[in-house]
Amino acid sequence: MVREDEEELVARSLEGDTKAYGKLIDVHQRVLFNLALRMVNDLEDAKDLTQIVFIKAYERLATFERGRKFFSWIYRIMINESLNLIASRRPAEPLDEEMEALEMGPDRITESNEVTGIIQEALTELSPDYRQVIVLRHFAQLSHQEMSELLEVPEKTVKSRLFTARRILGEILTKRGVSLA
Amino acid sequence: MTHDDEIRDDRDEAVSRALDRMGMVEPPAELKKHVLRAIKARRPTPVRIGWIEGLRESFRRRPLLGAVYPFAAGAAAAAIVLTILSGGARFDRKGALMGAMAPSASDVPGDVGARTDDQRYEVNGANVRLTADRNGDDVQAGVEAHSSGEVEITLKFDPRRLKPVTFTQDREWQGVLESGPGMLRIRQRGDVNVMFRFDDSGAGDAPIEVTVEADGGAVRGVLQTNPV
Repeated sequence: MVREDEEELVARSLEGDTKAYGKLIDVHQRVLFNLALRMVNDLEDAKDLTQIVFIKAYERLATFERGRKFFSWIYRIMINESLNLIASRRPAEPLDEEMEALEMGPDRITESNEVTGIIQEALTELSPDYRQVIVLRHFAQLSHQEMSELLEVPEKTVKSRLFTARRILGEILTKRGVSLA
Repeated sequence: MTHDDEIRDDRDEAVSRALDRMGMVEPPAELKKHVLRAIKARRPTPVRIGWIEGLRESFRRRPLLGAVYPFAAGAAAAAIVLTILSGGARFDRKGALMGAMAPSASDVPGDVGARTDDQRYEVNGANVRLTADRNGDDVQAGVEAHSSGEVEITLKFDPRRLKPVTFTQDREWQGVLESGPGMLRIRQRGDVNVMFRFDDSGAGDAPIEVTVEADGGAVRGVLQTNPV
């Protein structure tokens, strides 16, 4: 969706047009939900977070500045909410069983799905700073420049943080016996 | 490129591929319905244009304010979050955040009066000092924290007793200040050295509960604002 269309939807939402806001939800819910899921590693929390973020964004819509990218603005809210939730938790919580089951499918556990579960678990061992660059790059598919704008750090920092995050992740996965060849 | 570099890059690429193969999980079907149901009861919080424009004007004059987020519309949950780059913040007579301000001589405490409390804590490598001073009805709560990561400091108090007046810090910083009834919270990365000023015209004890959170750990204390 182009920026002008989104601005139009934001403007209509501000006038109380909930259908317009519904369209914004349609466009962004999948990525936001996956961002939350990969950050907090819990299906219920990810669902709650996504709902909270859309509601908060709606309430703050008047502060959204025209000319900015809506996704960048709402992703930022999601990242902050996820970090707040992670900070309020005890460290190293176990992998959510429901999510593991969902990712592995009800009837069969394929090798690739098993690896997916291990990677998700490994993600939770990264510090929130490293985890957020991984999810923004690999699950929200943001460019380095978009991540730089969103995180308000230089592009160089984004690249270096991403490289380090993947290096640590690679080490964790190797220790878990995942072949990265 | 050395052989080691090549191995490192191959590994990086392999991790990237593994991440990209994870794919996306579909959000719950009812998510949109739940959001729409929740927002039907409310409208986006209107921005008081004059106020915002005033802040933007301040921002243009000097780097003062990064973003302003009117929070939940409900009165009980009402809070405002300011991202402050420098300067401080002022509160109205009901203790609600009014907006950012440039520091002025009148905001800097003169005679701080008598020290009523001084406490030190350590939480996950963050060293925190909390102080309280009183000069008549003027109460100052100082928070000094040294940490390499993010620190969140929450003050809770009886809003009928203590009325927040100003928030100041000793140097340029980028942090978030949140205000609600009987609650003030700042969130910032790294070192913190801030001062909250309250007006207290009541009698008897008016303690301030303090929570400092850093790197997943928390420490709580109570600041006494009256001499023992």
